[in-house]
Amino acid sequence: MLMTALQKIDRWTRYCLPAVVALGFLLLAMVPIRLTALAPISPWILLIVVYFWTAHRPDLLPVWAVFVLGLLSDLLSGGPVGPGTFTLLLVAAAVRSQRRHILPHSFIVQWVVFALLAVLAEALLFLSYVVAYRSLLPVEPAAFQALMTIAIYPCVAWIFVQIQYAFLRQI
Amino acid sequence: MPLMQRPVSIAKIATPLRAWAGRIGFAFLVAFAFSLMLLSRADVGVIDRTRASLDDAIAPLLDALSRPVTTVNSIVDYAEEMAALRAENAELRAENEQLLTWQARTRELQAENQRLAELLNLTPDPQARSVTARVIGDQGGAFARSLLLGAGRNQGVDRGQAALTGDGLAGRVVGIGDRSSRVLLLSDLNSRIPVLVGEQRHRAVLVGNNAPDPLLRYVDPDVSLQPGDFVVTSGEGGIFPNGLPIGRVSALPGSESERPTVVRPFVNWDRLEVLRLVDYGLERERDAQLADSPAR
Repeated sequence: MLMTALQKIDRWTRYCLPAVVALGFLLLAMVPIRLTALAPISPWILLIVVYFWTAHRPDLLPVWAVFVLGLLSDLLSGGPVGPGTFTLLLVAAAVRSQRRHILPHSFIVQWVVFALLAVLAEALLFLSYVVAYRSLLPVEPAAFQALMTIAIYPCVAWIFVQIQYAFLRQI
Repeated sequence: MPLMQRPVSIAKIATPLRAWAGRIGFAFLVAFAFSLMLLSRADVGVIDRTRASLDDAIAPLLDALSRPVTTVNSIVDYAEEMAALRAENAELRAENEQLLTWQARTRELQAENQRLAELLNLTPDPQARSVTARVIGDQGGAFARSLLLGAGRNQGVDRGQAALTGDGLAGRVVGIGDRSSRVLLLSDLNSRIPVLVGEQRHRAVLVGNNAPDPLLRYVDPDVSLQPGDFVVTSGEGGIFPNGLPIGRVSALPGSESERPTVVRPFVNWDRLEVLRLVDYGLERERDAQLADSPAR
């Protein structure tokens, strides 16, 4: 199969789209909006990114991309480096092994599965930070973050579905 | 067919090999992330430098993104201010009268202070130099409290500088790039600031807990603090000068003696848009002293 250079670039750009969109979300989450009171409970968008793309198109979000995204987000957070990356890698592995059971179901079921996963992932993230900081942390921010992430899932997933229909159906 | 024999056999070996390579790669990444996590308490230069260059790389982008947000915020402020103009004006007039009395009193005290300082031959505090920087990023994670500023080494920002708002101390510069810097807020879990509390100037350490209001630790159990007591930096440890305002004691341990004292900071966490970074020259002074002292 022969492809012209343009076709190759087009294909490659489409392949990178999920990771690039995830990067965009990372940056947008850092813009200082007037709701810093809400900052502790800002959702963990990367969890949605990893769940959605690993379940629907694992070829477009390979494990190393999850690693790089996690590392970037840990570095940008200003806190310890590692907990987010570690948790997201395990989430990616779990979703990869169960995606055949998740995919055939309706959106609502996928959301419920995500909710369960988010609670587990947030607990793992919390424990990882306890290990990283070597001290106990307040539980409330983690719990709120999990709730916010679950609540915002439909919006973010909707955007991803649109991206998938618009750009990624052919590849 | 003999010709087909070879590719099939390669595929037979290659597929499980690839799966194994994938598994080993995954295990390596997980192990790497885990060891980074364990290392995070140690000061690893590579991580700090990587973070600084990443901050530098995204600073222009975040700066551009945060400008419209700031504009919207100031429009909202403008509308709010217009609505409350009359009431606020009356309030300010009353406050102004009070402040004028205070100003006169301050002048007297300043003159007296100067006379006494001259009398004692007190060395003046080193001249402070300050840089004003816009907040371009605030990471709203549930596990850390830090800000990204749009000024760095090129603008004269340095590690250890105090980050102040008009209200009081917000944090200090912990990471520095060429055109960006990172401020650890005093509410961050890693923040420890030696402070003095109340008129008796009791010593304590202000410890962040990732909540808006940090806690007072290592207070002498015999001293009694009052709600409303002022909390200022003590200048111990040589990072901040003495006397930067931080906040007031807001809640005191009740019946449960284990409960720590909570401090309500003067800074408004929701309105951190511009920070003044002040270099009191303390670090350089200390470094110079260390360099002068004979080899350890």
